[in-house]
Amino acid sequence: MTPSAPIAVEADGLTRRYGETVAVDRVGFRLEHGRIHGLLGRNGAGKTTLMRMLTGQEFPSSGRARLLGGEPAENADVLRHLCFVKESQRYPESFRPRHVFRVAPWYFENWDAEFAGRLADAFRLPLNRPIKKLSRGQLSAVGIILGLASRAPVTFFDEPYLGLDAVARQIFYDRLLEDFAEHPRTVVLSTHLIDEIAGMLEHVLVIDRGRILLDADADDLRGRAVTVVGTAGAVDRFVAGRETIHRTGIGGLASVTVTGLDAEGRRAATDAGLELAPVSLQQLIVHLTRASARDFSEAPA
Amino acid sequence: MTTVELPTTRAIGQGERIRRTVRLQFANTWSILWTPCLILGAIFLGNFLIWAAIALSTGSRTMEGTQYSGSEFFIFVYMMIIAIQSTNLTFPFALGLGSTRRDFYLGSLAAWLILAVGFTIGLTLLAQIEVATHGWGFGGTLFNAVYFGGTNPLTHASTVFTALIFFQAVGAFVGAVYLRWRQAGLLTAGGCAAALIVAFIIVVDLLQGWGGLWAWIVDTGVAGLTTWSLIPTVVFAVLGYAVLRRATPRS
Repeated sequence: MTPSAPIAVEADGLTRRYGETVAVDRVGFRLEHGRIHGLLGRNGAGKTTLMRMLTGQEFPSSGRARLLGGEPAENADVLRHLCFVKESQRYPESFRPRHVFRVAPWYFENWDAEFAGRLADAFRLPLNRPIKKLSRGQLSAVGIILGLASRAPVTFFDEPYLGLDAVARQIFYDRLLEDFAEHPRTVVLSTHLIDEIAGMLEHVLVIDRGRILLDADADDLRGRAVTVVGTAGAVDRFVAGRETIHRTGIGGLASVTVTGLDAEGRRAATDAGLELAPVSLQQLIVHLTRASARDFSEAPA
Repeated sequence: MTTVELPTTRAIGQGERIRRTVRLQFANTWSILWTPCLILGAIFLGNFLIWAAIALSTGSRTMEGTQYSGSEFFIFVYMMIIAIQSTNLTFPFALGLGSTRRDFYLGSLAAWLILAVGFTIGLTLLAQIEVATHGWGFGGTLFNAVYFGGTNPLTHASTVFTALIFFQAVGAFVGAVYLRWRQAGLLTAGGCAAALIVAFIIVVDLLQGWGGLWAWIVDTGVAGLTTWSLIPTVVFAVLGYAVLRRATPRS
């Protein structure tokens, strides 16, 4: 992170307790303006609570949240630059999608109605159907269109794709990237579909049990871990003294994921007759959170 | 650390932020305006047909007892429900759009005031038409029910208006309590209200003040009571904000 980069979102010792449960535990980080940040973690890891505190919707038990340099809660000057699309965003009784898009420009000065219309077509969203009667995926489309067409300087998406099929999710990713290129802004995207968005993220925060496990640039992460495959004996000799985060074995074969392997290490591995396999962001995070892979790769219903 | 340079944007004052909340509340006028109008229309039509049937079968053009009509009461309860529902569903939406709780609450109160003024004008006009047409031609009473303090348009209007804003304030308060503490909050608030009423009854009993109380109510009259009702209206509106300003939208 270059020291001069402007900071859009900042957390400092941010904590939220609900009775005995600590949903977010002394979290601190800074998110640079004009990038796409991924907030990754398992269900119940604290992603939504964290986002709600950063957007002023939830009050921290202790610590501080900053949005564009100001305290977000009840700060109209800061909140006018924010759009927060929640996974289960609620809409006024008797609203139809067209009402949502009629209201939006009153709150977002950069609102692009024409863009919203094109997105509605792409998602095949019935604009005149009561919100209460929309399917889960159509409801998600309303939130996604709101988030994209608002062009708010800081936009939070909290698992915005629930109920969307693969095609619709791809439309979301494509349009987000296209529009982001033309209108750079800060996007914070929480998700557990890591593989799908890995290529889009510039910066990654991994949260687990309310704590930040990882705060790194996506590019740094891609080369951070590598899986070494070979006969168990050779692999064991090679990984001895190295930092390993995952290990599996079948018969005489072993597969071990190690971190911090430099060019010299790679050469040593090849010389020892071992194979090196890249580790995806998703696998890396799964290993880091010591979770079963199934929890992450399961697509939402 | 440098802060983000945003393109200089025009200032948005408190007035504009309140105005857009009003527009948000009125973005779909069906549930808050036309539905109650339709219900009232249906009630009126039903009453009218009954009066007509009675008038045609008895030949009488005066309807004894219709001055106790409660047909209009639903509007007051309806206003309360709108205020509750709006807090429950429109509030999370407004916050997602980047509104503050304060702007949402002030703007919603402004929207309810406008709505109350509109309903007051409409209902007072209908009450005057009722007088002018001698009860819609059949001597029936619906809009000049005895509870509104007579056919004087000013008295009628002030009674209807204060009643409307009272129920709206109660709705804003109840909605905020539900939003912040859910069912537990409603039960606690209900329990507190019941305790206050019981305490009041006991105090009046102990002071043997029932006679005095009734005398005061009769003395004060409908016009005086409507003025007094402004106190609980303001109390509920202020309490509603006190509760809502720390409330968080649930998912």
